[in-house]
Amino acid sequence: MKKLIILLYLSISFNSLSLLAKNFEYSVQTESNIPKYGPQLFLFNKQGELTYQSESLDLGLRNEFRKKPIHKRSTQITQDLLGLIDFQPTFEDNNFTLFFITISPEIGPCPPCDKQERIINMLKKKFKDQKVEFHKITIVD
Amino acid sequence: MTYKLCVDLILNWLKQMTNNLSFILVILFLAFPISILINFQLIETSYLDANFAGLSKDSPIRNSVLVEEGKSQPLPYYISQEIENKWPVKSVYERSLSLEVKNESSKESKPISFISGGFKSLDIKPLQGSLESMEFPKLGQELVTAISYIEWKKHLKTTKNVIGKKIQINNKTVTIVAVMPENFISFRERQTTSFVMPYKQLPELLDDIDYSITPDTYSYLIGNNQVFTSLTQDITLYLQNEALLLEESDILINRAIGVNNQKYLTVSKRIYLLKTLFWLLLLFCFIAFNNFYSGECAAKQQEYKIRAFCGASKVNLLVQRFLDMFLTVLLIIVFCLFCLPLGHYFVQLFLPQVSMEEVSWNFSQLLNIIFYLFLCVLFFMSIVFLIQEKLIKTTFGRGQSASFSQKVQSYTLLALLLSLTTIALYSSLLLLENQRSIFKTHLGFVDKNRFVVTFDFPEIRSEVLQENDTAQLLLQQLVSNPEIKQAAITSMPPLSEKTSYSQWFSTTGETIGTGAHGNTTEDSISADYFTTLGTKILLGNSVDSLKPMNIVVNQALWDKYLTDKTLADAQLLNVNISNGKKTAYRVVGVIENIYISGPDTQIEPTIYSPVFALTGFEGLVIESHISASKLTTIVAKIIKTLDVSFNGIHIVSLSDLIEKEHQPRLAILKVTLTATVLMFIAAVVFCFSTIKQLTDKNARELALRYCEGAKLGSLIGREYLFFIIVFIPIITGSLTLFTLQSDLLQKFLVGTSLVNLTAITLIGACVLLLVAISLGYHIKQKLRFAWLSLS
Repeated sequence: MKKLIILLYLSISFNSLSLLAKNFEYSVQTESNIPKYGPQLFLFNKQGELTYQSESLDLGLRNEFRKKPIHKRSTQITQDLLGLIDFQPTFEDNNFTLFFITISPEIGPCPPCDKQERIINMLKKKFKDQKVEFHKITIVD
Repeated sequence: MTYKLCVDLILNWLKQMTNNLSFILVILFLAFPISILINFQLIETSYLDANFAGLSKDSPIRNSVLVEEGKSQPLPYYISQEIENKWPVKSVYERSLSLEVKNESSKESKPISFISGGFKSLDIKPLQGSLESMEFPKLGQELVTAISYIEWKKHLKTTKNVIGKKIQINNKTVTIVAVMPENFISFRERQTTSFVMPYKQLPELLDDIDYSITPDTYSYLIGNNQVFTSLTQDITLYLQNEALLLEESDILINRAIGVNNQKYLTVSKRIYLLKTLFWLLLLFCFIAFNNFYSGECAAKQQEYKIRAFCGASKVNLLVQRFLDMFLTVLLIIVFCLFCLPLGHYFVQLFLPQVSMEEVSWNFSQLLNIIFYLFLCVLFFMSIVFLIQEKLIKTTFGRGQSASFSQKVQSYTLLALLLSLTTIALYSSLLLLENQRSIFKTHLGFVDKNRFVVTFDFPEIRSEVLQENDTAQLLLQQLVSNPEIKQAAITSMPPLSEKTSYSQWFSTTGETIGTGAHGNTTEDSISADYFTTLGTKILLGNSVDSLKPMNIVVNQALWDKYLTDKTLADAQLLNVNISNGKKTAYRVVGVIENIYISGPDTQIEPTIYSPVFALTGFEGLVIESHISASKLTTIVAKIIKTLDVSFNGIHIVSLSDLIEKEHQPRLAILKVTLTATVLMFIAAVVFCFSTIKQLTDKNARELALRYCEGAKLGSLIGREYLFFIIVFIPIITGSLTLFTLQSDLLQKFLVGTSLVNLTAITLIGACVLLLVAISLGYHIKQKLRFAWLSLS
């Protein structure tokens, strides 16, 4: 019985964790101001303001979670980014929301994207108790 | 009286030494590995000496390097910040640049060092002025510089007050605030610096607001020794836990100041391995020396007893013992110094990447080493002498025969030597066999007149993702040049460390390749790739740019997944990652295996598909008889005419790449062979000398037994049995230890098994035969003159 309860708890935890992250596709044919290369990072605070944006590999991404200033073009970039996905993130439910743009391996190998994804996976473990939501957008043909 | 006695004893020692060639040989064997190890120590010291920067040996500064995929780079700002937050250290960056410097009288390019600060902690005191304003200045502060002593002496010494003087560096007005101390030359080894400036003022001086750390920048940490110890131990794990460092990356903290990090890391790794090997050789030689010396001690003990009987006082005997030992140690040291140039030559052979001209020999360091060596050898010899005198029973006078303890001692040391020799011979044999098979391995391509062209990693632009005919255009232009015989495109040029993967399945659904997610090695090539490389097509044809659904596979893939098929019905399925749909591709050819990462790597099942558009990830393979530099000019010119995203051309001949790939293995082989040859010669010499010493001691017993009717065979057999009883547990122990530590050797063995029972049995049999021959020879010799021992 005890085992069953633990299994049930684990299954619920796993499901709730997997619900945190969403995967989206970004076709190269789509017209958008967001560049079609990877890796790209967009970090939003609780208020839904862009605090950090990167258009290249950032292995020190963890330090960006400490920075407070709002990005100069926060409104425009947020609008462009959310235009790519059919989903309205609930920023206020989390302390931070991170969007990660990568390239589909079908288009070509992208070692920096792979590295960035590994760093993000490490951050997921590090921030598992700190209400951080991670979303992935893959550039496809 | 004492003076005369000393002279007499010294002359006596010299006489004995000149007649004892075996002992001189033993000392020579001991001196060789010591001289090699001294050379390694001097190289390390030379790399770690930062006198040129006016720093002492104990300066509280350490070099800090981020190592990613074997490549070293300065610490990124985010890691430095994290370290400063966690430990009480200050992060310092240094970069050297040549910039235009203009003063009242001249205008020329001068070397300038940019350093964050830390002069006070490093105890760098200016000759004039103050370095206060150069200690970690804030952005926007007045541009300041400290002039080097040499520059000041050369140009500005006549100027009464140089402090406060303004000069133009890179067209910016900079104020001189100090004159650097006389012992400061530069922050970089073998370079000079005219001016020192704060690192933080570099972006302003270069008019580069987005200035980031360049690969030629060095990063250091200033703190105290205790902090460095804790930092070195914990830093990598701490940063990995903080998600600031990938698992395969590492942070290294070392004492190498102003030295090329990549070279330092390569050399220090190699030196570590070589040092391990030579420490083993030294251990062997030391056991051999010990073996011989204990034999000599037994003879000496007899001499001391005779002298005591003749009336020598205890003081006289003590003086003789001390002199004997002191002079022997001195002889060892002299031999070591004598062997130093020889060691220098061998080190050059073992470390081809170290230019010995770059190694500055520190005389005081050498004296230091010699002094400690002297003390060590003296200590060990005293121990051996003490053991010999207190624990080993030496018979004396009529009825002389080797005591049980003497036999156990001699045979144990001999067994240890022979066990080490057996293992060394076995390891060398495996390495030789391995090298032979590597040289014999056909790499699947011809290297003569072949060049590999690679480019810097590109930025992906949306327009290059579209299909175009740039690949064909590039090839047409390359081949139309008379200097280029053949050219081909590949995404994985041989020995260039480039790989690309995709997902392929057999028609039965079996994953092709390795890895949890079924990574298949896939090379995008142009049709004439195989002919350009000289690779044999075993079945069918090459790829065709007009037939995108046709692919070629290598022999490894064919043998593993398609061996039951014919070329007509061979198909493989490729997975579309975005929709998961599988598409069938026809296999139109099978080629021999190409060792793209060198002959000692495992061949992966590989798929070759046709290349269409150039994305910038590809490389080229060119057949041409001209030099790499001329070829670079030609290729660069052609690339410029095309709209392709290739940046930074690197052209290397395939022969050079193969040679470079062989270098580390050959160096290890050279070292092992040298050590083994030395060990083997030493083992033979010591085997004969030990058994001679023992039969000499046992002469009377052997003669008596012989006269009583014992046969030669039974006398030899008796001694041999004694040796075997001692040898078996020692060789078993040594082999067990070797098996436990075999990882070190296994790394260098490819396709050669670590276990070769025939080889180890043969070597073991040879070693036992050597002992049998030696025993037979010496016992026979003693028995021929048995009457001498009995009279």
